[in-house]
Amino acid sequence: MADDNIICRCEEVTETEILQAIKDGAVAFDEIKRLTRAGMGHCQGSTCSILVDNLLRSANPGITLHKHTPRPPLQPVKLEAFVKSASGSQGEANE
Amino acid sequence: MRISNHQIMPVKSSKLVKIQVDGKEIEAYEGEPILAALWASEILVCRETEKLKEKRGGFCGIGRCGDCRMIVNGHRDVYTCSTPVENGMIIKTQKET
Amino acid sequence: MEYDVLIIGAGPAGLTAAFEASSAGARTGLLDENEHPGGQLPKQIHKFFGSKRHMAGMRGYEIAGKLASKAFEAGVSFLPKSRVFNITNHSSYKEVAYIYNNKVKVIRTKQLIIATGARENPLAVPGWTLPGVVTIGALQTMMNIYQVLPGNRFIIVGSGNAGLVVAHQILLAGGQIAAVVEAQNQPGGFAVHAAKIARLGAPVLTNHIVTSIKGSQKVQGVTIAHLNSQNNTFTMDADIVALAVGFHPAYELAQIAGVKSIFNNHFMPCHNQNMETSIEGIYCAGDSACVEEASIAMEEGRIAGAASAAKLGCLNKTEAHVKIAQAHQYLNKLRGYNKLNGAASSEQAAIESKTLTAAVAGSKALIRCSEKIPCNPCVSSCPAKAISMKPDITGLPQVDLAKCNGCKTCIAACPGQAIIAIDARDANSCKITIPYERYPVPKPGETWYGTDIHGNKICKVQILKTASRMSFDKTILVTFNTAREFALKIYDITT
Repeated sequence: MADDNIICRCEEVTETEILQAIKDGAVAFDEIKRLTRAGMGHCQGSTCSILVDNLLRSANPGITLHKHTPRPPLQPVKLEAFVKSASGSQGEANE
Repeated sequence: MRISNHQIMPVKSSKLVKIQVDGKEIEAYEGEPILAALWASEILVCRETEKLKEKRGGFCGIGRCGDCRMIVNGHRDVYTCSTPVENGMIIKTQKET
Repeated sequence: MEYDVLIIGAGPAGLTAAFEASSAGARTGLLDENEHPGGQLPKQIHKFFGSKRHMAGMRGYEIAGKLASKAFEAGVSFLPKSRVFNITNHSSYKEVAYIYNNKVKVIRTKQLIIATGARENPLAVPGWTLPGVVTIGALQTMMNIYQVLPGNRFIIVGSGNAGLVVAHQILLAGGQIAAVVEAQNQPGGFAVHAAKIARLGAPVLTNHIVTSIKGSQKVQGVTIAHLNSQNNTFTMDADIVALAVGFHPAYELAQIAGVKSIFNNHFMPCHNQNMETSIEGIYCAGDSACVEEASIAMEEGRIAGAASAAKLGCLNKTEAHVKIAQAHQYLNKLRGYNKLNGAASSEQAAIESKTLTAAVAGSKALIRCSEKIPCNPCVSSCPAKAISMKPDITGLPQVDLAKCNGCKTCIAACPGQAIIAIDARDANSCKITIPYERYPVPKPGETWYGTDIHGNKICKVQILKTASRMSFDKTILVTFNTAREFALKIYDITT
């Protein structure tokens, strides 16, 4: 694999950067996320998390992977969507 | 490229409209995703990335990856794969700064 | 409390779950981010494998329509264009937050079924971020729903069923397949799917990998390497590279809710026999539980729907138990196949020559299906009961040539387009009937070419007849005349 191969498309994090984070001691997707921003962009790791896990596994054969901790909102939500809903009542049906 | 003849799929029936992409006018079917209209006119580039200034285009096609986002009628970050075409839309390649 | 049972995702699993819960009397809601129900089914234009119970033989978009109308008739309320972004678990209810019309909405439900389907696996090779590199799903959506192709010349990476089916559909749509590239030593998907593209001349390069994708502003080509030999790297031109390297469960919502997961190449949610996760009242079904296929998703949806309705007391326990046990029986059948355990090519050759001999008496069906895949529309479609299979879904179909009356019903019914009919009553020539779904359609009187198993033209053929019936569902049966020596060598026709 080339050094500049991109792993996280959204945040443009390369394989080299992820491997460096693993060398620095990261053992979980969440740690790599905080160190490199991989998985923090628009898609919220839905594309790259599996690639990062694969890199973790090949760097540490036999590793037990930590599960990811996705947090709400799962996709980008505009703040205006929350503001708009505050004026409506909870549970009103789709109009 | 539009698929003109097909044995199985039904023929498209919605209205043909015009949209503008980076100043160039193209034809599109009302209601189809903007990305479909772009692909039909062989436009593959949607945005340019922040760090590496790479060109990007539609990748997942279902509103997940965000690589197809463009500036539509002045609004940034519009997912073109899941936003329907409206007549007269002004669409621009999105450059991150 | 708005709902007794709320289902996220209106694909085959979600629609079946919604039908089961609602027909048991539970107030059932079905959320989906798309405008129309069906999940990935509406973009599937090919006939589906499986058995009658799972609507095999129908095209994917028709199955979507059937499942949806069944669910709506049972009283399910459908909430379209609603994208869920959070789930919170409370002692007596679950709260689901979603966006509808750029507005945040929150609803409560007693039981929750997560049927959010799958996500595509990425393949990080240099150049995979170039415009023109797309997922196979993106391509299928744009091609089959919106009727656009992003380019003319395609390379498909991965030859699982998704890669093979979409490659075939690209050919139907008028695109070119430069190659389907597969790292394994044989196609990953069903042999009948591989055969469909092979006989149209599209190469499946087994034991090969794409090492990089080239281009400056967009894709111009790929570099391919042969896995078993050194210094065997070459380039191939293409406008579009489609990644078809598998799927994994999309179950982030279950993770947010706190469901326990296990790791098996990727994370997936733990669940019991009732499809209930580690959190009481939260179920998973279909590809979001484990990536399989649509018939299995329907059965899992049935289980989750029945189990959740039973928990609420809407469905009595015995009835639910019977339903769930039956669904498990089907799941075992559908999963209990080994496609590699099929017929040897010598056995197939023997069947073919026997069929040609029998065809001297009149038209006979010849089945070119040598893998034990879970599929039996040929058996159920035959009015003469001449086709049998043991075991009933996952065996190899066998034609009783004495019973076969040459009616050709099975040709259009076979989802793999793997059945032809041969009529050898004339001493010198043979009439052959094949299924045909491409454009243009041949006309009687025209001269076309017969092509072999790899798509090479081998002889001229005279088109005699084309037949299309409602029951064939857009498949056309084309009958042509050819010299007898080519009868068993022709696999398709071309202009």
